[in-house]
Amino acid sequence: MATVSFRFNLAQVEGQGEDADPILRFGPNLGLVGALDGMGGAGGTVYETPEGPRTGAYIASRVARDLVERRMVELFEPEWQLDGPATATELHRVLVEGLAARLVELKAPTSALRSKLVRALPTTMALVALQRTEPAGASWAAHVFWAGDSRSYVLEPEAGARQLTIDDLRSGGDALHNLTDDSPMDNTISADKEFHVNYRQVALSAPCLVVSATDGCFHYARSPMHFEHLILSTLHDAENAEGWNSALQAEIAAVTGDDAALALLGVGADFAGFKDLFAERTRGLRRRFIEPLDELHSQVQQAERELAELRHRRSTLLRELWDAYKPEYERYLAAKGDGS
Amino acid sequence: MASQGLSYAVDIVFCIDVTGSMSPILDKVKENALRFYEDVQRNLTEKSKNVDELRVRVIAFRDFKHDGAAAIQESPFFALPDEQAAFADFVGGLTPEGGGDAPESGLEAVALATSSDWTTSGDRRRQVIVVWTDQPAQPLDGAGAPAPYGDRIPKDFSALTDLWENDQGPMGASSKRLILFAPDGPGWSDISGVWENVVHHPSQAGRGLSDVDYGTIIDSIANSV
Repeated sequence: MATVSFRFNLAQVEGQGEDADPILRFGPNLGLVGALDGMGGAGGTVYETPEGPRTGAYIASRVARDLVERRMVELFEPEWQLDGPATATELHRVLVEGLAARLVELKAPTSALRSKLVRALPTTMALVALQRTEPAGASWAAHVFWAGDSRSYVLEPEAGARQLTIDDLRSGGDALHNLTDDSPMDNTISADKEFHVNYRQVALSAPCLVVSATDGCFHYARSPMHFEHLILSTLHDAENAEGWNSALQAEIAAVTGDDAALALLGVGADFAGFKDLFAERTRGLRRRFIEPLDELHSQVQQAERELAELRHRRSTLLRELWDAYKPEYERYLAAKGDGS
Repeated sequence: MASQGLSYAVDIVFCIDVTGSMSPILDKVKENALRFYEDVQRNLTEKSKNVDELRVRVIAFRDFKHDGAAAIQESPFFALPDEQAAFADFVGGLTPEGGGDAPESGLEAVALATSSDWTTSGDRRRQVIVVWTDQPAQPLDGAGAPAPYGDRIPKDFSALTDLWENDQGPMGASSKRLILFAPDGPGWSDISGVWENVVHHPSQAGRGLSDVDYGTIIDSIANSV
């Protein structure tokens, strides 16, 4: 099958990124695309490791990635359709046992802290297992597994981006609302708290792009539409898959305030094919969603600058005029009274 | 994509027990308060989170039943770094006295802190309450707080819990954190066993806090959960 694929993992602090290197594997009839994000807020506990001190969040995403990838490779057979619900149960078992064992190995430092917030080895996961459903055909089954707020998407030439996962956030799943709400998660993988692995199956038709990403990639976009545009505009402007990968990394690195990891797999076309297939969608997306929003955003920014300038001028003028007015106004306050 | 990342506005309220029993450790607590906000800010900045606004205020508390209205000394929010000197002056002026016997009015201080005039600026916020005390908390019974505090303090622990847990309450569901450096015992253990977004270090006002646990606490504030 013609494909395009790449992945990256950008750390805010070199060597201390809490996202794991994404999962990206594929063959003629199978694909595996996953992203895992160690949770820094809940997993800040530092453990001594042979590589030096590492946070629980750093360790968790990597351990979970290795556990999940290894088990999925074992379970994945081109000849057999994956039993999705059973696989979700199996991934849960593997994660529970594997993280608990790793926690024992780490000889966790004794903590005096009591908290429902702090967790041992907490991480998110978003994983798509792609399986062709008919020999040499264009139909694929996407088995989607997730926990937490990392996301998987499919991008189709006519419909654009469609989210495959539902954020496990207390506030619910609205993707635009979640950009600013920063809601706490209500389900994440960890070594010491109950969690579940969500599952759903979606029928896909090639050609399409499948993406798994941590929130550092999409959470700093102005809107979900802007995130799709980011992926497609960098595709549009690139000369080849390496250039696309580099441009996407550069765009995300320029704006993100978090570690950011992403894996992308295209099935049914090669780089040039996808560039052609998504050209019209990219133009339409820009025309209908991006340009109106960006234009209004620029106007708001300009108005805010002008408002700040007006406020500064008002404050300055008020002080100047008060200084001019004040001597007469306070004449009898400053003078010593003669009592008459 | 959005313009350069998101801006963070950080508000921290320090609730400090200033009863007589804190005398041996109050100076250390004052040092910790002055260091605490710097560590939160550094942690955020190291992760490329732009801290556009950082404010701190202090609620010093004793025991309403022993000290009456003098049980509370509240400062306004100080915008840092511009008002660093005023903040340091306020903290420096706290003296350990009063309180009578244990327990103290720590829950009342938490209630007053919860209803602070939290910032609404920034793309994202952190609203943090930090408590240092060496005593258990006086139970909330609706009778202890004199004017002008009575109306600002819930009548029982259940109502205070509702105030904290209410996602539409004065503090944001995702932005609030409560850090307790307080002994195991009535009030404080009830909070850490029940409330969300709380980290409790059971101790005499933070004594014996390890570097690992301190780092965990700072990370729990700076990062999303």
